[in-house]
This record gives sequence, structure tokens and C-alpha cells, in this order.
Amino acid sequence: MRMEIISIKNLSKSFGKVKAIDNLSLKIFEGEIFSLLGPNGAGKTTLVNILSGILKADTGEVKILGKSIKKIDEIKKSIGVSPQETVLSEKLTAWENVYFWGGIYGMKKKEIKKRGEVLFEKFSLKERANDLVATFSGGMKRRLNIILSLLHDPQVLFLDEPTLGLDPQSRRVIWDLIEELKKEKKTVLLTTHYMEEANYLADRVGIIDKGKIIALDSPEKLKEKFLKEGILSLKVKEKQKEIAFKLLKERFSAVKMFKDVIKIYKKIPLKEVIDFLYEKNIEVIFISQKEVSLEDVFLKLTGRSLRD
Amino acid sequence: MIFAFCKRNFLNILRDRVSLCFLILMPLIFILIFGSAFSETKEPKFKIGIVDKNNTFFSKSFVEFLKNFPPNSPLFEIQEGKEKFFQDQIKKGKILGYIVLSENFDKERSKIIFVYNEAKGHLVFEIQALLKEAFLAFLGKSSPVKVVSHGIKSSEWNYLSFLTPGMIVYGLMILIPVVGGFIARDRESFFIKRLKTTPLKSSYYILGYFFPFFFVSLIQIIIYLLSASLIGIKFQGDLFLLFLVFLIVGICSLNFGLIVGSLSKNSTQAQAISWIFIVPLAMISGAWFPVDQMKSIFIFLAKIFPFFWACSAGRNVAILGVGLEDIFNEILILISWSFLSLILGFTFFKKFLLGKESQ
Repeated sequence: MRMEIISIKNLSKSFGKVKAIDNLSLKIFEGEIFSLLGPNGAGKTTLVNILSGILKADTGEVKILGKSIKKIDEIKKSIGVSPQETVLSEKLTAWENVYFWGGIYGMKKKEIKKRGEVLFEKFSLKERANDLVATFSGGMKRRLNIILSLLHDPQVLFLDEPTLGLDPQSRRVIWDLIEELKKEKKTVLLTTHYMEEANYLADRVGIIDKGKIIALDSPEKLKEKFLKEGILSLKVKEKQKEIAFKLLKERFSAVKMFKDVIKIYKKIPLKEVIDFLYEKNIEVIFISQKEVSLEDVFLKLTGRSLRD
Repeated sequence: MIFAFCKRNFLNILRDRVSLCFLILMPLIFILIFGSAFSETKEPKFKIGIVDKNNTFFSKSFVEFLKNFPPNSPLFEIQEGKEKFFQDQIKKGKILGYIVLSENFDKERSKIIFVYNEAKGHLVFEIQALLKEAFLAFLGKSSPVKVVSHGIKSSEWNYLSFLTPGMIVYGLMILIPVVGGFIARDRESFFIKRLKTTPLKSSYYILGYFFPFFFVSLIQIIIYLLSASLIGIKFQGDLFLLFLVFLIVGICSLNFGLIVGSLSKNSTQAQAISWIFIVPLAMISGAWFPVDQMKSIFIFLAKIFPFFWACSAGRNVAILGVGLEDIFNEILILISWSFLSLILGFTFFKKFLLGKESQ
């Protein structure tokens, strides 16, 4: 039986009238990369902030490594946090930042040096370790941010949007590094609003919206569970959009309209749809049948895009 | 842990060149500019003494005339006494100077001797002109009269000597926007929130900001005093006492910076709040010009804050060479302020920075 590393029961947190976390329950297991996938404002960062001791929950129970979050001081040395915003001191060099954060965790100078060298090497920052952080690119800063969270070799890692705002190449570098953490049997809670990130990295994905987990499983199972029939997307002339939607819904039932795109959640041959619309004198501009993604799962569950 | 925290902040301070320039260079530039270009514009009430060696009806009438000159709004606050007493009063900074009416005053009717405090030498021309005007009005004639002025030259100081302690206090006041901005910047960058996820105790956060800036204030004072010596200013009193006065007011500024940093939402706000606070306060505290030339309401307001007392104590030690017993009250007020501001600074820091929750 897998060991529970994080256990959350009926957790709620509000900011004024805004319910950021709404009666959320979740379990994350040892050595697992768990991804919280959701749009901005879904409650991902709030959850990470509660788990890392920055915020206090209104109600609910949280246990990390079997200890209640109420005794957060006992857990702090076992968790590493890489927040969305970088915490780097730009006027210090990468090494000076490492020494500072290592010192904060009570590490000895020798220990910091040894660990720093390993991490700089692994994160390809060795050559720039003595440069001021202000001269670093966004990707390098993100990598250093993660290095700082790994310095004290924590068992549990919270990575809040680690690739936010990065170009695809830099994102890929960070993905590879996160994958390596899995080999080291670290438990990682990764928040993201990039579905491809969750799809690529996560063992399990929790889709979060309005503070609630609305779906939870491995990426493959989620896609299978919610969209096993596949998706067919089509566009028709603007003035025929409404009538086309009505007719398709009558014929195929599992039909939804998102802005100017009509989606049919059913495995139907393209030809059948085209012939059907042709008969009704509706002109098709575009039609495609594609492999489903987590974005489609989110769209189906919430009616909104992850980037909305 | 605390050492790492202090080191990080100290390196940040050293590498923030704009703030460092503000801390070190700005007051020095002010000393030079104000030293050469200062001019008084406020309506004065001059505290002077009169030594009446003539002691005739004529001289007594002149004293009475002077007490009510000009008739609608007298400008002199006059005290009568012996020369030695007034010399002592000058040294203590209690009066601007004193007039000597010679034994032959009633016969000559053409000369007044004015002995003044050289530290306030910028007022001499104005007082000389007023005395001459009063003397002519009293005599009711247009024949030439003379006001002979002597500065007390017990030491080698000038107006720059007067200005320097005020400028040093002002330089230390600049710690307020620097500390406030520094803390607000850290909060903006998620740094403080990230610290909350570490085993570092919250009281260490505050000390982590306090100690590096305390060290900076020590360096500031040393540089100011050395620079003043280099441009030829000689301090009359105990340098250690002078250092102590500046150090206490430096601590007060640092604590005010903690308060501003805790209350501000961002560094821009911290800077704005600080400058709105320190510029008028420096003005009314006597950092740039003598407070005895200001309206009493401003003096009253200035006395509420420590900077007024630091300027006063600093000048008394630097120019008049007084000892601890003479500035005991000022020191007591400054120490009280440093403790009060420390408590307020720590309280605000803990309440607003460590306790505030946001999404």
C-alpha cells in the first residue's frame, strides 16, 4: 500500500466573499507527481499556500507526512516550495542566493556548497553560478527558484506554475528536471494551467475549478473517462451557427458550442456529419476530428477554456 | 540562520547604489549648497541681552524703546544683565547675542556694540540693520550711527558648523524611505511569503532587517563626521557624545522605516509616504535652518518628534561643546523615542507583514 504523504480533508478558504477553496479533499502519495490543473483563479496557488504554511485554512484538516499542518514548524524542513513568483535577490549572485536560503534552513556552509554544486550542475547553471541574478533569463531564474526549493533536500515539493511565462524550450528543460525528481522518489505537487504540462509530467491530475476538484485521475484515464468517443469540431457560417447547433444537437445529442466552434462528443464518421449538414443547406467552413486532450476534458467539464 | 539573513540584506544594501547615494551623498551636497546659499525669510523674534554700562535715563529709555521696536510688532525679546552672564548664555545657545551700551553712550549717541553667537552668524546682518534702524528712530535724527559687531570667537566654527549636525540628522532620516522601500520591495517579490515556508522564526525576520541597516547607519555617521572634518569643520564637544546622539536618531529612523515598510503596499508607496513625512519634518526640526526663527506652532510640532531634539543636541555638542549633563533632556527624549519607535516598528512589522493574508 502506498504511503499517504499529503492528506487533505474538507478544506475551505475564503477571501472575503470569494471562496478560493471549497470543501476540497485530496490524497497525494509517496513518489507521486500530482498535478493540479486549472485556470487562473481556480484556487491552485491558495491550496499550495495553505500546504506550505503561508496561509491558514478556514476549516478542514491537512496532514503532511502524517503531521497536522497546525504543527507546520515541524514539517517545514521536509517541504520545499517554489512559488509562482521568483524569490531571488537580483542583486546577489546565484551562489549568494543559494548560501542565503541554505543558511535559512540551518545548513552548514560546507553542506550548502556541496549540494549547490550538484544542483547547479543538474540544472545547467554551473557556468553562471557566480553571476548576478539580475543578468539571468526568465528560464534561468525559474531554474534557480527550483534549486532553492531543493537545497535542503526536502521530501515533498510544491511547484507552483514552474514554467509560467517561459518559452517552449525552457519549459521542456524544466519538465526534464521535474521528471528527474520522480527518479529521486520525491513527492511533487505541481500546479499548472498548461494541460500539456500536466499530461506530460503527472502521474495523476486533479482538475480544479472554483476551489473544487471536479475530476481526478491519471491523464489517460481522465481522457478515456470523459471523452472516450472522441471529439469532432466544426465551424459553419456565422449566420447559420445557431441553426446548425440546434440541428446537430437534435441528431447527435452530445453537442456543445464554444464561441464559434461546435463540438460533438461522439465517435461519428466525418462524412456523416458533412452529409447531414449539406442536406440541411448548411455550409461547413472547417471540420476536424482530433485526439482528445486534458484541455478538452476541462472544456467539457466546465464549459470554459483553461486560458479563460 | 540570522547571520545568513543579515548578510543577504547587507549585500543587497551595498549593491543598491541609488539608495546608497541617497544615504551618503545627498546630505553632503545639501551641506555645501545650503551652507553657501541659505537665506532666512521667516519673521524673526530675536532673543538678545543688553548690558547697560551707561545706566542713565538716556540708556534706560533706549532699552525700553528697543523692547517695543517696531511699535506694533516688537522683534526683540530683551533680557538685561551682566556681560559674563550673557557670554555664558550664548555658549548655551540661549540667546543670539547681546548689546553693550558703553559708559559714554549718552554722550556719544552714535555707537552700539553687538556681541553675537557666531554659530548663528547668518542673522547678524539682519539684527545689525534692525538695531541701526531702531537707534536712528530713537534719536530722531539722520546723523550716522554705528552698530559694531563682534562674534564670540571661542573656537573656529562658522555657519557650516551650524548646518552640519542638522544635515547629518537629515541624512539619517533618509533611512526611512530606504528601509521602508527595501521591505516593501521584498514583500512585492514574494520573498517574505517564501520565508514563511522556512523554519526561520518570525522575530529573526525583523532582526534580519534591523541589523544590516543599523550597521549602515553606523557607517553613515562615520562618513559624515569624517567628511565634515575633511572640509575643515571642527567639533567642539565630545565626539563620542555626538556620535551617540546621531546613532540614537539613526535607530529612530530605522524603526520609522520598519513602520513605513509594514504599512506600505509597495515600494513606490513606501518612498512616497516617507518623503512626505521627512521633508517637512526636517524643515521644522531645524535640519536646514534655525528653529528659533519659526512660528511657535511649528516648533511645538517639531518637538513631538526625535529629529528636533537630535538637531538641538547635535548642535549643542558640535558647536558649543556642551557635555552630557547639558543635553541630558534631549538624550532622554531621544532614547525614549528609540524605544517607542522600536516597539511600534516591531509591532507593525509583525502585524502587517507576517500576519497579512492575501490570495
